[in-house]
Amino acid sequence: MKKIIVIGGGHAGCEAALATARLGARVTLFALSLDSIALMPCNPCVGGSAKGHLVREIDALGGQMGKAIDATFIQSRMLNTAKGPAVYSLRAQADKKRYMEYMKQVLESEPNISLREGEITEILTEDEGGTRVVGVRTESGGAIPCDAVIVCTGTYLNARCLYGETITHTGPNGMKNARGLSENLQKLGFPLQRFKTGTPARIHRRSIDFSKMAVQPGDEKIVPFSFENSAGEIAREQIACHLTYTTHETHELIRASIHRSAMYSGLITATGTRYCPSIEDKIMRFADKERHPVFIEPEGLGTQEMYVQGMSSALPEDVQIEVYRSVPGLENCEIMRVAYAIEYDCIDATQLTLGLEAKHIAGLFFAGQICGSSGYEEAAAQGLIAGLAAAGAEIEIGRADGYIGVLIDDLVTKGTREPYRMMTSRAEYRLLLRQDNADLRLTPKGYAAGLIPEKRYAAFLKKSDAIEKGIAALRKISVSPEDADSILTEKNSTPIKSGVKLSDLIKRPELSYIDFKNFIPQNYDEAVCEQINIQIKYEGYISIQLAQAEAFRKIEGKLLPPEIDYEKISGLRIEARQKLSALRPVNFGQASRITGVSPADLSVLMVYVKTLTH
Amino acid sequence: MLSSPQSELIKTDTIAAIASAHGQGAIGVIRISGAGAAGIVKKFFFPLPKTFESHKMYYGNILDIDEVMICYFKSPRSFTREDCVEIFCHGGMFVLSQVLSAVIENGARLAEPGEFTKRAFLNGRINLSQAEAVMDLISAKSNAASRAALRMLGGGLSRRIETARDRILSWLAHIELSIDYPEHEEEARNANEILGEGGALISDLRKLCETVNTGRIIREGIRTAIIGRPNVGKSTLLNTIMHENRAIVHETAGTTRDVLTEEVRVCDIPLVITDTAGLRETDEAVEKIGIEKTYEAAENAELILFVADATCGITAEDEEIFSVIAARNQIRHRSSPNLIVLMNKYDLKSEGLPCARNDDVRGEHINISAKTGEGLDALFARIKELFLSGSVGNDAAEYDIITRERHRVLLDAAILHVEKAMGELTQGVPEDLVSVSLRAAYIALGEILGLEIGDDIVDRIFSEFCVGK
Repeated sequence: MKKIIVIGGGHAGCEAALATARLGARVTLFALSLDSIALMPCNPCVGGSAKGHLVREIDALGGQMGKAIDATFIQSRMLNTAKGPAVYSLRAQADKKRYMEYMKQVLESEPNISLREGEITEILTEDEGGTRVVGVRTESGGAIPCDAVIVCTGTYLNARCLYGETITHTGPNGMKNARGLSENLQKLGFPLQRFKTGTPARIHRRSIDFSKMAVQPGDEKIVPFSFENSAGEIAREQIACHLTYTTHETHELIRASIHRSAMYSGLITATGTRYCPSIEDKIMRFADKERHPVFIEPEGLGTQEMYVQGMSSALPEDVQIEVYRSVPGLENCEIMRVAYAIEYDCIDATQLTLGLEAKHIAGLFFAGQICGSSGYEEAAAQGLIAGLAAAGAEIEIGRADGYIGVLIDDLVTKGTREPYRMMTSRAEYRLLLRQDNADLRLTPKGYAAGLIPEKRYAAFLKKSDAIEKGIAALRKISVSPEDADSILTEKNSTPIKSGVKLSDLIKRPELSYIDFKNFIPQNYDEAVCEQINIQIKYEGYISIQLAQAEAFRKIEGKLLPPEIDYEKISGLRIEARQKLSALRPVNFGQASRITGVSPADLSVLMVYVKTLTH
Repeated sequence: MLSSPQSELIKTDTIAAIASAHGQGAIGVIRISGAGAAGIVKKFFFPLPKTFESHKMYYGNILDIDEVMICYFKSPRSFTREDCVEIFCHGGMFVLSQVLSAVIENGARLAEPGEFTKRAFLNGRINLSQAEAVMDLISAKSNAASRAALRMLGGGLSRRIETARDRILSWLAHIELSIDYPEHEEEARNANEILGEGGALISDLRKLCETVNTGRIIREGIRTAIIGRPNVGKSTLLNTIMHENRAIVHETAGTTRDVLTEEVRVCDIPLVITDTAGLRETDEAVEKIGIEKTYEAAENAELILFVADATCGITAEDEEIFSVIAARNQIRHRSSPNLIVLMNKYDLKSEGLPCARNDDVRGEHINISAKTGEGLDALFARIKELFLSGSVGNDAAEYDIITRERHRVLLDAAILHVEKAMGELTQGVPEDLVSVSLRAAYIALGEILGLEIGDDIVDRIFSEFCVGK
């Protein structure tokens, strides 16, 4: 039985431990504190644009995050519904505490997982400068042998938190940070980068005047994250979030005190993310914007703490209070926890394979923010993939298969110089990678990897079969003008003069499958109807992307012989030679995405490989 | 070194060729490229400077041949990214070939056609469309063609396509922003703004697309057939146009039995002219074959120069030939080629003889004398008007002209996708779907520039550059 050690119990660590354990490996998960398993140290929500896709994909592969949020959400919304089916984004507010409890219980009840509180300070290879992992050493000096290690240290490595001139040497939420491992990783040949992220203040519910804010209620019709749940099963009473905006005064206050922000005073040198800027960044960088939205979100049902989304900051405490109080509805707000920025060490993920294993040390895996990403969902997705790979499962998820494929390929091929956030715009074939069809894309892969149980797979096959049959039926069934008339009139749609195939009719923007349900002999459940509708309605667009994806897969299929000596290909520019030698891409597609490799370099490489094979 | 695949792929020996235009000129240029370039020149150039500095001109002599200027371009700051030397000597083939011989005797190899370009491309110095342009330049049939190629090489076409691509990218960015940051609704750009810019983009791409015919014409020439009854002066006309006597001219009817093809440049427009057998009723087998070939030439032509005899006007036989040509074109369902009626021997025409009717469906006629060349200017002006009308004159350098079918197909695709996107925006189709169309347009434009990595790129490289042979 494979013995695997997971370092860290955040979202990456949880998925990694569960995946490896479920594939039969013996897992020990070390966390600095067992009270921080699945901690959400920043925003109290899961999903959102592109991140929601990731959660659906994690679930489709047999991961846990979707089920965890379905069990513990207190508000659920589908965003972007007017912008096209591919970018519908599911987002749910979590009850943070219950989410953590849920996930910890799942881990505890997994027979192959042992949870251990403690810090790992060293990763052991078979000898000095070795190329294979043999174990780990704990803070107390004990060496534990293992076959593989998955490093999921999040933002804890050499972490320090800053606001104003205050610096605490802690991880997020005042947790203990991890000090030993950074040095060890450097010795093992991983140059470290220093990244920065941040979180806003938490304020007391009673101090907020909600009457000055816009209410944002949850959706009436809830879509579950997990394909194993139905809307009915997870229905519950939801709580509201609220929307307000920064004011001119907010911006003036920030400008006046900008020199006191840890980010602008020079205290912080680490790189922050452009995708999720602090309030002072927003105001300094987008000086012409008159206001920025601020969302007030509950942290859970069992607490009065409210999260102030959109106002993360590293300003000193006194300025923070003034700044928050300049926002309508927050005039009297009581800050319970101040906003802060956090700095931490992470590696350069270009040292990893597509399975997130170090190229130069077998058995050493990395997942989550240690790889340069940001976000719970990004971390969980990597945890799942690293877990599968560490357990020896063969699974390939490419850029045309899922957001997870895009995420990992981006990280290990391009690397990142700032915390990486998943976005729909990073996916080239996003019309194919919809959140609604994540199971159709990935559940067969999850099943092949061994993470999808037989029963679930059988249900999946039934569903995909029904979709196929339903689509075939729609292409055959015609409706007569008489039969369609009342529906068309009701929907303000142009009348038809002769019989028209249903598959043509529902392509009209104002019509959908549901309108013609009575013409179809079978009675499909909602998820099947939705698939039939989307696949028919948008098939013109889908086919364009299918063709593009096909061309893409062809290039991905062109392998680069592993023995190539790039230094000897004189036609390549020096930068390209260096990058290709360092990254050693597996195929032409991956080579084409390496920063510093131009199309001309690629042509040279193609010609070179062709002459090799002649 | 020689056995490594690299050396087979990109020959790294030193090559040389005459780089200036053929024919007489004040100055001729020899280009040498490869690691040995400087070493070779040092063997015969004197006085030898202490050091050859890159991008500096040196004055001196090549023993017994010429006094020259040389310039050394150190790798990678050269056309091929290899070490290069250019020798500027006096013009004229004699001097040039002597200098070239000296270069070759001292260790360089004569470059194959397009080899400098091949090296420049494979060394990443120029992109695919620029490489294509150089290949066009090498095979250019006219000044206009070479100017268009030069323009493309200079990146005129690339720049225009890049501009269009950037515009599409900025639209996409706005759509992406609104999708990735759904909570920031107010950031989203109004679809109307994109619609406002879309028209201009489409019309620009379309203009570019329309130049393909001009591009093809200046690249390949106008397929022209000279048609007429026997002995109306077709070959004389061709000869006069060609300024030389290469077609057989004889007073007896029916002397041109084969189809002769000549290339000639008229006002910078290349014509590929086919001189044909005279058309008449005949029973003679050989002549019949000739006549059939003539009609075939007429069918394939883009321009028919119909020659009639001004001394006898349009005859019944002429009318007969017209109708045969018209009928054969109709059978093939193609639009009629441009036809110009030439009344030849105008100089011999006596007063009062009937002329071609001006209201004739065949269009206006031009009076010429093939023998004296009278009236040919009017003919050339007419050809120019027919084929290079509108904005694109013979001043190709002032305009970006696409010369390749590959570019036209991709431009067409890009236009189609942008038009589709505009239609979708008007109908209120969700913006993510609009982005599918815009992305497709973006990709198509990228392919013209060789920025999209297509599966076919290797084949294209192999077919155009004879790599590895």
